Amino acid sequence: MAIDLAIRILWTAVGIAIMWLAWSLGVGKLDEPGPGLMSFGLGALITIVGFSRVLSHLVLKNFSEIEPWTKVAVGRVSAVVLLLIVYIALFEQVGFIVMTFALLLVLFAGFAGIRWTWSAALAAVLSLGNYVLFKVLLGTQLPAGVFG
Amino acid sequence: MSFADGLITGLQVAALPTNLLLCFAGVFLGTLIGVLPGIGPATAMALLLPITVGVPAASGIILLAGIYYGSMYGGSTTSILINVPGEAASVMTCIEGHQMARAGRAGPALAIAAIGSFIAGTFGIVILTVIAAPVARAALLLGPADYVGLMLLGLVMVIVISSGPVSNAVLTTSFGIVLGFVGIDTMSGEPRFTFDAPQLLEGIDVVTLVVGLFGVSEVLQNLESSIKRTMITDKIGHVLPTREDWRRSKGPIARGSVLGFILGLLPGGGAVLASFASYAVEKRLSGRSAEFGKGAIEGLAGPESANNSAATAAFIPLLTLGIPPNAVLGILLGALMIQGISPGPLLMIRNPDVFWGVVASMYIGNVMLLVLNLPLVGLWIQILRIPYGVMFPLILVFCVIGVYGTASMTFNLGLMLAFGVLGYVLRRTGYDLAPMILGFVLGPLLEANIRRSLIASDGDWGFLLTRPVGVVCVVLACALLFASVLPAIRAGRAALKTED
Repeated sequence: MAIDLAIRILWTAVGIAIMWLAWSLGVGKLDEPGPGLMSFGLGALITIVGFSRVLSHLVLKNFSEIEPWTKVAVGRVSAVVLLLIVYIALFEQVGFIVMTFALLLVLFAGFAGIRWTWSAALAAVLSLGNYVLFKVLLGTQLPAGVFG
Repeated sequence: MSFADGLITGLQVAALPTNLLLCFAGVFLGTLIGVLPGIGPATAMALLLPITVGVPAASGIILLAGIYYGSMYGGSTTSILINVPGEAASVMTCIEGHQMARAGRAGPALAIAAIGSFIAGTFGIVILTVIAAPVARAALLLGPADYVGLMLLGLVMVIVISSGPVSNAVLTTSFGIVLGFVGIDTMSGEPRFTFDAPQLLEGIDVVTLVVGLFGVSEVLQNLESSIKRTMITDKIGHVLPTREDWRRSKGPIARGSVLGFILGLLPGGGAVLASFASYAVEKRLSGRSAEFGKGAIEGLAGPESANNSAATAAFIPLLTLGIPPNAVLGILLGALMIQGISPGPLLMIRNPDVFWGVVASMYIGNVMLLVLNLPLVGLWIQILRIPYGVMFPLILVFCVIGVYGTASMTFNLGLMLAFGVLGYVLRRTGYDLAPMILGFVLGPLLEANIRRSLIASDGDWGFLLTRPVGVVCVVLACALLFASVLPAIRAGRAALKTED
């Protein structure tokens, strides 16, 4: 229930923020619409709908059924997001092969429960294989990093 | 150029060895990603977008189009065998297809899905071939007000058919439209919502948004708990449907083909709506409604045909009006733009090789899909047996390659992750993401046409009611919206009365 209300309040806040940003861009006049006109209207729509949903929650007790987050779920999702943040932060400096190897190794061993040695072998084959397929054969831009 | 001349030109382009190979690669990859839950056609197209830059425009679009309609075929395999829709348009296939498989009739279910898809896909291409030129000629007469009406109707359609409350879809659609405004405003030249980040001056890349919202968020959601898959492990013996199966499937395939094509034409309609509508129609018409949910072949044949027909029809608004009716075709629009080609009424005059080449390749691609699908069922089953723990790290790597390969910016990877987390939270709290993507794709086009029309009409909003196509679309959009919010208003009133 608290999450549902928080999301509804967040939408209202997002709507207000869009209206504020759009206003600063300039809404112009109807016969000379500014760059912020339509964004302002959409921000207003989000604010009105978001706020009416907040009221609906508080006054009409109209809740959305949201399955609560478990500690395990939050832990797994947060861990993968954190890993991806590190991966992205070092992606260009260290390069695709090394970073992808490290990411796959941790995910295979940590989430798929594959033994470290097998995870390492699989991660090495897949990171190198993807690099050869996409960078060498298909010409996709991927950073070489430390191998560059 | 008549459609017969156009088709001959197209066949000459599509039959080139390189294009045949790319068409095959497209439909094969499309089927593969349709089979794999968690990686959609958008991600696959993003992965291959960079290679389309180095080949002629027709070849690149043949490849990407193959991925799109190929994924419609592949989605049914996963739905029938493991009860997980490989693609959103295959949700209805799960219901009857998986029940048939559980009853030991996986073979006929797969065969009817493939044959129905082939018939409907081919029907869609024939109609596309015949009506594309007249539609394009008519589109030349459309003004900005008509385009505004068409796009408003598309956005309202996607709001109305999305899962969850209409108010949720209004929020996500509006937010998606605003996301589409990020970058330099083409009319005033001013940067909008860029927060002084130079990487945002060119706007948010559609690939980054789609891969984040669909690819990454789905992985995050699946991480919460392992997907419960009830894989059909028995050997798939008889593939050919019985005479009775044929008799019961003929009507649904025919109706699904027509219904799918009509719904696929509408911006915001598309394959998902078509398959749902077809299922509802078949349930009503079959006279065996009690069998539905327990493996009624009508409920499989109709939706599978409808989603393929709709996928083909969706090319008409893109190629003749320049309006992408869904996110995946938004990526195709991006690919055409990269090649310096503007889809719209003049496409078949300025670039007949691209237009007719893609249309002709779809005939060939459909035959390839029919030939490929049934013999390769064993391969798809083996792929589906790969545990999700091994699959999801690879999906994440594909997402990264697709996004980085499009613009070579780490910034976009960060955005992808941010959209992934946003998509995950929204999914978990009951928001459908499809309206956000369509809003993003149509938003800038809609805004440009509204602003032009307002300037031309001296600020009079009555411009919306000055053109016949625009009027019809606006009236339809209002009626749809009103019909969908009415129950909520009534429920709110009833609740207030009860409190009093």
